[in-house]
Amino acid sequence: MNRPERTASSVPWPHNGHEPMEQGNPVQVDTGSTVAMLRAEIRKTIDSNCGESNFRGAMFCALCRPGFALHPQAPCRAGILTLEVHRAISRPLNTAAMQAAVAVELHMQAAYLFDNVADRDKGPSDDLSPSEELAVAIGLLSCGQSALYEAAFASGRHGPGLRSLLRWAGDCAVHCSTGQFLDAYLEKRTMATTEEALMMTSLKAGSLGRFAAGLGASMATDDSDTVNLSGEFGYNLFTYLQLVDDLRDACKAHDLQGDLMQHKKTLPVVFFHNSLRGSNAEVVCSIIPPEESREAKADAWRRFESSGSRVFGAIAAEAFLNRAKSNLAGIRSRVGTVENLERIVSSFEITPQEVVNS
Amino acid sequence: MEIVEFEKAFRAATANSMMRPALATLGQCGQLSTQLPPEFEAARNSLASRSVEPARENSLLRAVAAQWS
Repeated sequence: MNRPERTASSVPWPHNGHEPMEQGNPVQVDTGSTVAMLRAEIRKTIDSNCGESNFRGAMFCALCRPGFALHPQAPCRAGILTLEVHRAISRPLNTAAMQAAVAVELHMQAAYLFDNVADRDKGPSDDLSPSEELAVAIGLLSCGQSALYEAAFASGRHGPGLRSLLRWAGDCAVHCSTGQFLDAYLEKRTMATTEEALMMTSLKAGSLGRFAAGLGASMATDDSDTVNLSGEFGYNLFTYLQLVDDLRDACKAHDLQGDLMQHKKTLPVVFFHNSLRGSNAEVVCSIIPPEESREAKADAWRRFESSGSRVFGAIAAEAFLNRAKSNLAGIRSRVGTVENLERIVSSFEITPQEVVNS
Repeated sequence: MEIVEFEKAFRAATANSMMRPALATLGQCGQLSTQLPPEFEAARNSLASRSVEPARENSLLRAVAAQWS
């Protein structure tokens, strides 16, 4: 990323009654209050960008579902990563950083909605049809785009610097969409390679992490190396998280449900299916319908568990975690303390044994 | 990402029926990476960009043991 001319006109944040964080504060991560402030800004962004009450209501309803940003227990990981990368580099949070976090988080919520539609088995929520669900996703993306413009404006960007930032953000968003498309495309195929599975995962999740961390950094510094390193950190961290999620979702022993039964093209499932080529692959190489007997599902589960697919996936995930840690060491060498980011990584970190035995 | 090379090496290492008990034993003992069978070590190193911390290495080995013991 090229970050030429830029004026440091960061507006103190927050501007809606909360006390701004002081310059030079120790990097104490009070994630609870930060998430609450992020949620408040997300509400404000949607309120100010969507005048039509029914559509606005549908957006808020969608965002209040479990796992979504306005649900009380949602971690808002992407937005928090944006804020904490910004805080690690320049300490005080400001309007630019918060709007950037809103932009990132709304992109992530739109991606979740797309996944809901893609995972047809889950069925629509809130009585929304798949078409309505996609319309809400587009609405959230548009609100996110508006927040991105606010962030760019608040950070004082103009001219080539503004163009460069928006172009980079657009690239990140397109890469995320490419991952979503590849996911849907691979669903139609009987087989996939581990390379395709990993590419899909990295594009979908990694690109969003790059967007989150890179945007947080670009709101804090003009140094393109620090911004790029932060982007790589986010890319590797979010790819790691997705690979861990894929291991957890592969197949659950208690109900024998999961990606394995739906023949999703996640890394561990693809590795497993490819192991069966040439053997009696027909047993498990197709979607196992929900009405299939428990014995058939249990057989597929046993084969999967003894195949080494979880270990394979855990080692791949571990490699991305190592890379994220290496990126973080690089950021530390540039900006000094990154305690808050180290704490975030620790909170995401899961031992391979936990993952494999999950 | 050299996932294809890693996959080949991993499959070669784990297809060796003689190696599975060895991996399981190493895992149960919590041995360090220097004592891993060379094929498995090569597989892991082909993917990781830097060495794994000893505590996580042990955890990984125990995970291997859980699969093949």
